Amino acid sequence: MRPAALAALALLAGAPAPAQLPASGNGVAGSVVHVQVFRSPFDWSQPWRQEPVSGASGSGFLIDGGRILTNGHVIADARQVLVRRPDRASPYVATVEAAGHDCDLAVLRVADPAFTKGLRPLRFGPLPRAGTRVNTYGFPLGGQDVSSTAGIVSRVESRGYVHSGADAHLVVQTDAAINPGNSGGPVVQDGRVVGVAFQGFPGADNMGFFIPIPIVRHFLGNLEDGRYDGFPDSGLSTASLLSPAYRRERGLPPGRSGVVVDRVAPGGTAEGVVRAGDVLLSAQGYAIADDGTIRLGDARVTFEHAIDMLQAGDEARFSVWRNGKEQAARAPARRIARYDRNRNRYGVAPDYVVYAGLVFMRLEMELLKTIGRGWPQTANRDLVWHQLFREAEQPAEADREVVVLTRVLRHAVNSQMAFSPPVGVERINGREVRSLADVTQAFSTNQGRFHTIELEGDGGIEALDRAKAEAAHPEILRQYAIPQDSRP
Amino acid sequence: MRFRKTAGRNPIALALLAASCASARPPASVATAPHAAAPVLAEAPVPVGNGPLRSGVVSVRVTGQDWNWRAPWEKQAPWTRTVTGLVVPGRRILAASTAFGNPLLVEAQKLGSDARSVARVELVDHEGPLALIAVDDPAFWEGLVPLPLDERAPGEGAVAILRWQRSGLLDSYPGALRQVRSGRHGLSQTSLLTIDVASSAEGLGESEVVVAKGHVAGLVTGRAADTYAAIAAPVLGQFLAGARGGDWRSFARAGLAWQDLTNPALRESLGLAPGETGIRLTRVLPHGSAGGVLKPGDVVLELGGSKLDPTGYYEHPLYGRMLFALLFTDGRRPGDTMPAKVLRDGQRLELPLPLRAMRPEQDRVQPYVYGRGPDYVVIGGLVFQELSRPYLASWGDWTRRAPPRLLVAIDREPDADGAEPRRIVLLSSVLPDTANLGYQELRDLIVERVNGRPVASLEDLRQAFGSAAAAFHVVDFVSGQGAVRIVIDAAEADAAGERLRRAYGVDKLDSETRSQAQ
Repeated sequence: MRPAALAALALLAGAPAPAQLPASGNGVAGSVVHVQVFRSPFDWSQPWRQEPVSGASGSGFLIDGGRILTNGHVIADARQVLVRRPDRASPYVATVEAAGHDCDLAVLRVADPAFTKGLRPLRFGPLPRAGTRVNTYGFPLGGQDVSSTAGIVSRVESRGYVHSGADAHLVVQTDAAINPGNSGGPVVQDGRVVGVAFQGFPGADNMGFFIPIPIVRHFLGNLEDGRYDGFPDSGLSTASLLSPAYRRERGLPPGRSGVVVDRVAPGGTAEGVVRAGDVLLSAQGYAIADDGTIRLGDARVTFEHAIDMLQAGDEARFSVWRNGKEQAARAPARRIARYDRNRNRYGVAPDYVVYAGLVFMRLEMELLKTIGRGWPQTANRDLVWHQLFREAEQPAEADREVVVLTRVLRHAVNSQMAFSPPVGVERINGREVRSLADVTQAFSTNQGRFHTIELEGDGGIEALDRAKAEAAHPEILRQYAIPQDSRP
Repeated sequence: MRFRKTAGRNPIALALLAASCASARPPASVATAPHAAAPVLAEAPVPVGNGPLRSGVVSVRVTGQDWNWRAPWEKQAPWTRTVTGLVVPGRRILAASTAFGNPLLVEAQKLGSDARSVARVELVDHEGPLALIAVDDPAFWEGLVPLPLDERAPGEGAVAILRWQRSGLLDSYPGALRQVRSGRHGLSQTSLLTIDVASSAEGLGESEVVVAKGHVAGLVTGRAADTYAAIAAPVLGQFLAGARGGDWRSFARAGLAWQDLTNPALRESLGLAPGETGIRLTRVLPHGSAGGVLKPGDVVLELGGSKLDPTGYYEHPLYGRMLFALLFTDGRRPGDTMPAKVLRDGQRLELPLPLRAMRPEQDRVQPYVYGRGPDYVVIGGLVFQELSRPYLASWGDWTRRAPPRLLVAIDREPDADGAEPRRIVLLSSVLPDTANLGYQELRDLIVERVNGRPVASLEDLRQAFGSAAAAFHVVDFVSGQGAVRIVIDAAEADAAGERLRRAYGVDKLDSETRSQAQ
């Protein structure tokens, strides 16, 4: 859940093609395609509208089943997707068959069978080892022909995926050049795909990252039932046991290692089988070191990777040190749906209610982002607490939704209100507000002369004259060009 | 930012409000000096001649040293500030400056003399900030004559701002009065009668003397945009009278947060009659003047016989529209009673407010700590402190840089009604030592419990550590900040003391200890 320090590779559309290296001739290049998209994201500050159309481009490659694999961020919020073979001049229209924005992967399909004719689907290889050579293929800065670069695998680690902003998975770092437009292109070793190029540091040299095959396989495996569900969440907050005092206090014998469990999230995989205070010794049979890592080939990555490799419903296996002995803990892997509110959202139309010029939305990251980058310091403190701290401090309330009065569309009926949005809503007309449906209900069932809105925090309140609000409501929708007063 | 305003609640919102009041509010009606009337602002200062101004203004040099709130056993580098002082009756000097917080040496100097006389701070009130300074050397007072104080704040016209230069000259800068308002100065939490003076002079704010028509109109304390704020002469007179009487009780503080009632539908729904106005309280500090009398939800209609408008302003007989917080200090002092008329649960009540000053310790986050160092405890290299404004100041622009959980704690969690507010106790930093292996990078975490006991003050923490007979000390933090629990070995922590002294120069492991710790 920590904010990722990486910025996604910017996708540049319509950039003039720089001098290109010829595609290497091992047959891989022919299966790499250029992906062009036209996107129109939703506007979370005016949830009834969308942003103007902008273009972007990236790369993709043919895999089995006539599918094209690319990055989630290449096709995010796309309204039209065009793919082009390097050996053809004209693009084909593609559809997004599935997107996993939590792992920045997507599958495209072209209806026209002519597109794949003569193309060879690329096959997947293993997780590459540090120090081995890899080649990248793609369309950096656009361009007509496939570009290829070569480098070595620098390291294998767990890292934040910038596209979702809230997920960390296995990544591989390489010094092969990965530039804007490479996104979605294959990284190849010995003729097999070992990863999908996806992100880099804007300022760093010779540091690019690709999504390794275990993550790709998890994504594709999850799609087998025709629906993408995402990764399970262990729900564990752990602290490293680098303190010898804490190890002794927990009674962990010499030679054993693990991390101490600080918190078990409601609804997560470990709920009910692992407890705060347990020392987590292993996950899926991987021994956990005192810093929380497990051994993966030559690399050390966080134990969460072992849980990452499960699909929801698979059995998760932990062992913990509790009451002076080792105990096994097993539970079906579960995904925590509420964590979606910590993620960047793509292709999701924001829900809202507008009433008499007051705009209500659910609290989530996309809404806070409209305040600006500094929102943890500048936003209303109650909202910050709900978003960042409530789950830890009041786990029983973890799933609770917070409704936010996000803005006031000024009209004589509301323009004298004196609060500063966005601010959390506690009650409307005496009714506790825990969902947007509550907002609609509270306004529509009130028979009193006034609507009363109780705001969070210092307990400020506001009121609307009900008759005037009813009359103003359609007028405000018309004046502000709002097609619907709520979504859904 | 108009919803949650505060009159003397906590240091945080207050600083923000002070700025927005000055700029966002329409100027008070009587007090506006049109821009065109201002003198040409690019004028150079002129030396003051031989008139009475010369003999009424002196220089006060203050050498002081503040504690290092990031390493609370140390002091920072010493500083020297030169403050302009006003000669007042009784052979005293009056100054409005925060320089008298942690002074080590105070010296006074007058025009035409190269000698500095040792002075002493006789009375200081950080809620001004105001200081009364005595100079015992009779020779110093020869030729010095107090300037007359204005009995009321002048609303408009040209003024001279007198500043003592380091070179020993007294300069006069032209300025123009902008408005009279209610304002806060320095780190003060109380609202005082304030004049705003426009001037092109740079770098004022150390008690420069504002003179209008031969009378002292105020002392400059700071700047907002191109306007200087000065504590108005009537406040100075109030302070001097209290000092003379030997019973100065500081300034009364409202201790309220409120919301405006500009929305007619809201007024009506709350039961206000047509034409009736006021503000709705959202928070009442237990130790402020309204504590125990007014309650959140009350609509305050009148204070001290003045009707409040929907934004909390009243009509001052001399100065026009003023924010209600001024009523607590303008012509009133702690111990006085001020009537309040409130609407509560449909009833109109007349309630007497016993006006009270608040000590800085009565704020959950102390607005300032002067005259002593930070309270702290070092155990096994873990450094614990209470969150305070000077600690926050170590971030610089802390409202944008401090960890979000601290900002939440400051603004969101209310003061308890108890005798002492619940403090925010922090693990402020860790001095790396073998006793704290694994925790070296922790900092600024809010402590919830130590050895199972809840911690609401540093004293609680001392007792909780002291009470443990077990082999380990267990510190639990408010969950969600990263670290949740840390464990250190009690014997190792005890043994760390000598190492910490040698490695980090911590001569006292606990600020309460007079001599060396065990």
